[in-house]
Amino acid sequence: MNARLPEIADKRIVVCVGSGGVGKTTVAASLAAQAAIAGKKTLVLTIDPARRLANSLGLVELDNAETRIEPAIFTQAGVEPRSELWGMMLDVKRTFDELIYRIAPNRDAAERILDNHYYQNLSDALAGSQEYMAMEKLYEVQAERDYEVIVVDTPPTKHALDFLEAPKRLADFLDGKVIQWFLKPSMKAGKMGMAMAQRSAAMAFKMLERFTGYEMMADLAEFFLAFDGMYDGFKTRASHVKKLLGAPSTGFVLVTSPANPAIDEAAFFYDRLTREKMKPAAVVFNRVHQWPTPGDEYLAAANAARERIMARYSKYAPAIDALVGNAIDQARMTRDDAEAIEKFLRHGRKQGGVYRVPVFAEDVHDLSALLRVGAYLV
Amino acid sequence: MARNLFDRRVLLVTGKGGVGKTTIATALALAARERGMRVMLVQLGNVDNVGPIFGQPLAPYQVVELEAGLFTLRIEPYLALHEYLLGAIKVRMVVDWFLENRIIQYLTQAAPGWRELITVGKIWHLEQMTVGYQQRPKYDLIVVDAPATGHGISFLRVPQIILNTLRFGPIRHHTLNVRKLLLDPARTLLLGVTLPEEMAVNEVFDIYAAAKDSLQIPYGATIVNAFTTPLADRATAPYVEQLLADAAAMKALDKALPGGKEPLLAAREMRETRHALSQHYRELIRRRIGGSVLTVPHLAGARLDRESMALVARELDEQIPRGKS
Repeated sequence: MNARLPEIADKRIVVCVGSGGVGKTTVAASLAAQAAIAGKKTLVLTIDPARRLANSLGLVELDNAETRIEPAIFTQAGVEPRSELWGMMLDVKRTFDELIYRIAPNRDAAERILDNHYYQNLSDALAGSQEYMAMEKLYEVQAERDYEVIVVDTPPTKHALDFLEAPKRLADFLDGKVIQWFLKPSMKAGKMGMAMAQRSAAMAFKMLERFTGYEMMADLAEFFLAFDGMYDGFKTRASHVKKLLGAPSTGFVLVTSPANPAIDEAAFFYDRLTREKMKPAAVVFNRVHQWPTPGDEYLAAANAARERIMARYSKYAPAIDALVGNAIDQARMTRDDAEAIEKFLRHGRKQGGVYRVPVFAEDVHDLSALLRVGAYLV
Repeated sequence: MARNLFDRRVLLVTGKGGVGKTTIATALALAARERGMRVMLVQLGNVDNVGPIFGQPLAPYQVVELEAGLFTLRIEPYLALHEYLLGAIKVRMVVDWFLENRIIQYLTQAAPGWRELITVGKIWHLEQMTVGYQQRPKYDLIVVDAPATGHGISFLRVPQIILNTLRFGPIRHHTLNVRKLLLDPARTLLLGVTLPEEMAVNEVFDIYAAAKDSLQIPYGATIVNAFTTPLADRATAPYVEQLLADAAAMKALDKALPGGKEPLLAAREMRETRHALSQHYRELIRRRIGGSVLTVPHLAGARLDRESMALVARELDEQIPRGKS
């Protein structure tokens, strides 16, 4: 019961990655619960957990608040954790706001950004901001808090690796030189002796304005100007985050379902992570059909048996057909899942732990269910 | 309560990642095409999910006729911008020069919102296209497979933000047209796709609430994908009970089957539990959203291929009435 995934037992930070809808949050919460039970003070940082699961653990708001999972909840589930489990649900906008306050040279500068209506309306639409904020929060928490283990559940993106690039992309976006260069030529467009590049830029800028109208350009300029001088701050932060993700004390757990397209995406993530020198410590296949008898043999034998018994008990024929047919479906799904996993593990993806969590009839929505999942992660 | 979804011009297929949006969008497109419509299946985002289904990779921003009457296009914002500018400026050289300018390149990479705006703009453009003297629509129906990020509806929010921001100018003018299309219940419907699972269902509730309150885009129907049907239909169910109670027959099954009857009973229990759960979530959707709730049964062994899509299309077709609604 107290065992943890051996591949991540020595990691302080565990990042669960994978595409949307594969049960990343469940796996993250389950790993965190196990760590706490095993005696590590643990935080699980999640983006958008299932409400019933969150509520059953006593987490209510997506508000960046660290909330202790009451020991009574563990007691009800029949376990005595040797340490504390804390949960936090990420508030993207608030994290972004806090980051601006931290990096801006002063309060006025920060507020100028927070008041800009581009920022207000589009800060969640800014490329990769959700991913970046998850990493930002992780960085902050690991630097400032005394958790022995932090499990992070990354946002559901089409490309689960967006979070790796998000910090850099945001830094690029705020590249000080470009901002200067973007704003100034337009201001002095009429001046003589401008460099060719600048004159060309001014023309492009004018043309852009023809489409957008003056108003939009003024707003946009204000938005970019507000970030002026913050580039270095963002860049430093981004490189710290990147270093943290690459540190030996950080481990990635790739979560996927054995179904397509999730498993194809997972293969892609695995290879990308490996290239980035962040090879996943473990791969968790979630919702795997696990029929007690191996697929192919069962299929053939059950098909033959079905015909025989149907002939003998003809009055039950449709019932036998349905009952055995259902079992055959399960066996077939088991075979398909096993084949998909086998295919994934070829191509050198075999190192690191491989875990299979079976498909449960019911949703996972309380600690007992998390522990049931956890039993397959040892 | 079912309505003819194909009686509109644009269907926006949304839902949480992993619920089968591409499957549903493709199947809807196939079903509409089977009814004799010319259909455009639109993909958003930088991953081609439709191509593999039809066994041909699809390049971004190229209209391809997959099968007679079934067209597809993957909207790539940058290429859409190029097309838009070419329409406005007319001279390709000027457009190329403009887009290659470093400032513009930087802006197109960094500025938030324009990708979403140009994407919905292109959907509007497809809706407006006509052919022939009678100016009949080039595409009778446009089915949009929304991106999997977030709720997949953030791109629908942008026109509103732009309209709140801009008081005049050509972009405002275009955006007004786009917004008019999105808000028009005679032309546009938002569809929520879900699995019979808590997270996915909650996401559909969020989408419905957003459609109703902030987006004001008409919500058309909820589609529950991978709905677990009961093990036996109504006629067969009593026989299943009798069979289970018949010791001799069960003994025969126990002897004949590899692993005996136990796996059979376990599989039945799993099926019934999942069926109950599927029903529970469908009820919940009926209570919270109402309107049309379509179901696509869980198909064991279904793959992301043309054959499986045809099965799903048939299931949907049976639930979508014909004629005006």
